[in-house]
Amino acid sequence: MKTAGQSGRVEGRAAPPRLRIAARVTAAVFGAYGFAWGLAAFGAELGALAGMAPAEAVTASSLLALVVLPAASLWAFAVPRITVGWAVLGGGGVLLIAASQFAGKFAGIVGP
Amino acid sequence: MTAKTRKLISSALRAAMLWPHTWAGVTLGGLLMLIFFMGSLAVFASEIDRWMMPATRVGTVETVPVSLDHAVLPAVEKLAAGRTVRDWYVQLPDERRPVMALQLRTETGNAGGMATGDGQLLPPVGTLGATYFFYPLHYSLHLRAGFIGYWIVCFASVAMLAGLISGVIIHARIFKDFFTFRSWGQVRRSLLDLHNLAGVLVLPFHLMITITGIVIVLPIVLPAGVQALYGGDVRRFYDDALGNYSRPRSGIAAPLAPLDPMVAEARRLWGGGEPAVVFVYNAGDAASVVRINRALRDRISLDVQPVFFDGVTGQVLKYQRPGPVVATHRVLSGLHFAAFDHWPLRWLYFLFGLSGCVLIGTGMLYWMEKRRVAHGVKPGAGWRSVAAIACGSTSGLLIATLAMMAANRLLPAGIPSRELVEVGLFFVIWIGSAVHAAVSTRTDPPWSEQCTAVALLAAACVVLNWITTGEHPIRAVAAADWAVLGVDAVLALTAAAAWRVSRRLARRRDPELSTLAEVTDHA
Amino acid sequence: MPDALMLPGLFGLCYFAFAALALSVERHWRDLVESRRGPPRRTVFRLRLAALLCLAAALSVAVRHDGTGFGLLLWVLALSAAALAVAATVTWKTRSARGRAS
Repeated sequence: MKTAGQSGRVEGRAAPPRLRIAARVTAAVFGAYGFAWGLAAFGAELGALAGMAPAEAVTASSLLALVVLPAASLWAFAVPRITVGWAVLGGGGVLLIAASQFAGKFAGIVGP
Repeated sequence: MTAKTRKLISSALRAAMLWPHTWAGVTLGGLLMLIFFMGSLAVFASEIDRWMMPATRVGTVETVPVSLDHAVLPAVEKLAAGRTVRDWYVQLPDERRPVMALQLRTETGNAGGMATGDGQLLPPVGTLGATYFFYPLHYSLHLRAGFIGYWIVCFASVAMLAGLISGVIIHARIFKDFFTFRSWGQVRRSLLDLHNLAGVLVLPFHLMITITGIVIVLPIVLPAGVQALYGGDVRRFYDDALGNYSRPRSGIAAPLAPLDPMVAEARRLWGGGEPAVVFVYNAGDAASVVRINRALRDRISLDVQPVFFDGVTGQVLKYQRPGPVVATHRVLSGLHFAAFDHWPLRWLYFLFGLSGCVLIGTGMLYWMEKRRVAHGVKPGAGWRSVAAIACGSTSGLLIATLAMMAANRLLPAGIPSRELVEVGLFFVIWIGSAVHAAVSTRTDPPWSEQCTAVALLAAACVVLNWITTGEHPIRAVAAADWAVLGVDAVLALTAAAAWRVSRRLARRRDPELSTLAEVTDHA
Repeated sequence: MPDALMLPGLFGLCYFAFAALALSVERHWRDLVESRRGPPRRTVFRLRLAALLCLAAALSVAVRHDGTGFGLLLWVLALSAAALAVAATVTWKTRSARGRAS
C-alpha cells in the first residue's frame, strides 16, 4: 500500500493501516447514508406531526438529508478518531431511525 | 480574506480532505466522465436525434396545433394494426422535434413509431438515437432492473459532490490562483492549473448540476421519508406529490371521448401554455384515463402540470397543484433537465457539462503524472489500469460515440434490429478502445493514436451525413436546418481539435523528457 | 435594450468585471502591467469597484431581459463563462509577454 503510506506522509501521521482506511471509507459510504436516512425519516415524521402535508414533509426532509449526506461523508475523513466518526454517524443514524419509528407510532396513536 | 479562510480551514483538515478527494476521483473518475459526457450530449438530444434519424428532418413544425382526434388517433390505430391497445401516449411535435413520437402497449407487446404533424406515419427510424440511448446512459447506464443504474449514478454523484467540496477545501490559494493557467512549463503544473480552473470557475454549475441530478430521483435513492409516511410505496408518494392519478381497468368496454376538447380544457386550466404529452390509460375501457402534460418550454420548473380526464365522459378527474416544497423540488429538477427553450442557456449547459469532463479528466491525468514521478519511468499495474481507464473514458468514449454515429449513417435501413446493432457496436468499440489503451500503455496511454481515431471518425461522420442524406452545410443553411448544421459543426470542430492534439502529442513522443527530466522555469 | 445586444452586453459586462478582478491580483498585474511592483492600493480598490458595478449591471440586464428565474441562471452561468474567458486571455497575454522577454 504505497498510496496509504504516501498520503500518510502528507498528513504527517504514521501510515494508516488498511483497517483504519476501511473503517473511514465504510463510515463515509454506509455511515453517512444511514445518518442521512435517519434524518430524512425523522424529518418526514416530524414534519407530518407539525401539520405539513405528507408529500411536502417527505420532500423537505429528503432535500435536507441530501445536503447533509456529502458533508457527513467528508466529515468521516476529517474527524481525528474514526471511532468517534462511527459513533456519531452510525449511532446518530440508528437513534434518528428509532426516533422516527417512535414518532410514527405516536402519530398513529394521536392522529386519525 | 485569505487569512481568515486559512484560519477557518486548518491545515490538518486540508490534509485530511486530500485522501478522499484523490481516491474518489481515481476510482470513480471513469464513471463520472461517462455521466458528464452523456449528460452534455443529452442537452442536445433532440438535435442529435434529427442527425441520426434523417427521416424525421421534416422541416419546422407547422403553426397549426396538432389535432389529436384527426391526426393522432388514426396514427395510433395504424400502429396497433388490429391489436387491442391497452395504453398509449404521444409526444406532440415542438420546435426542436418536428415529428410526434407514439408509444403503444397492446395485448401482445409494445409498438412505437414517429409520425408527422398531420398523422402521416414515418418508416421505422432504426436507431435509439440520443433520446433513447445517450440520454438513458447518462442517468441509468441502461441498468433498469431494480433502479440499479440510478443507485450507481447517484453514488458517483454524491462522490462528485464530496469531491467538489473537498476540492475547495484543499485548494489553498483560491483567490490568488483564480485566473491562473500556466500552459507552459511542467505538464503536471499545467494540469493542476486547469483542474483548479475548471473546478473553481465553473463550481456553481457543477454543484448545481450534481445536486439537482440526485434531487430528481431522490425518492428512489433515499426513500427514507417514503418508507416512513407512505409505507415504502413510491407510486403513492408521486400520486400525492405531483398530482398523479391512476385507476385499474374495469373490463367494461366504452368508447373514448373526443380528445381535442380535453386539450382545450387543459389549456384553460393552465392559463395558456401548450400540451406536450398526452397519455391514454386503459384505452377503450370504461375506466380509461386521459392525462395531458404541459410543455416545459417557458419555465425552469419541471412541473408538467398534469390534468387528468375521465376518458369516457371527458370530465376533469384531477388537477392538483403541488405544495411549496414539492414546487421547489420541481424547480430544482427543472434546473437539471434544461427542458426550457433558451438557446444561450442550452449551449452554456453543454459547454459546462464538458468542463466537468475536463475537471475529472485533468484530475485523473494529474494523479497519473504525480505518481509517475513517484514510480519513476516503470509504472506499476495500478498506474497502468488507471491510465487505461482514463484513456478509455475520454478518447475511448469519444471513439465509441462517434463510431456509433458513423454506423448510424452506414448501416443499411433494412437490417433486422438495426438499433441494437448500433448499440452493440458502441459497446464493442468502447471496450475495444479501453483494451487497446490497457495493452499499449507503457509509459503513456495511446493518446495520440486514439486522438487520431477521434479526428478521423468525427470527420467521417460529417462526410457520411453529407453522402447518405445529401444534406451539406450550405443546404442545411438554406433549409434553416440548424439542428443538423449544429451537430455537423460540433463534429467538424471535434475533428479539427482532435487532429491538432494528436499531431502535437505525436511530436512530443518522449514522455520522460516532458514530464520528468525537463527542468522547468519558475512560476 | 434590443434583443440582439442583450447577450453580448451581458457577457461583455461579466468579462470586463473579471478582467478588472484579474488585474487586481498581484501576479497578473506583474505579468501584464508592471513587472517591478504590484498594483497600488487605490488601483486595486477602483478595479474591484468597477468589477462590482459591472457585475451588478450584468445582473440587471439579465433579469430585465429574461425574468428573475432565467435571468439569475443565465447571469450565474455567464459569470463562469466570462471568468474562463478572462483566464484564457490572461494565459495568452502572459505567454506572449514571456515570449518577448526571453
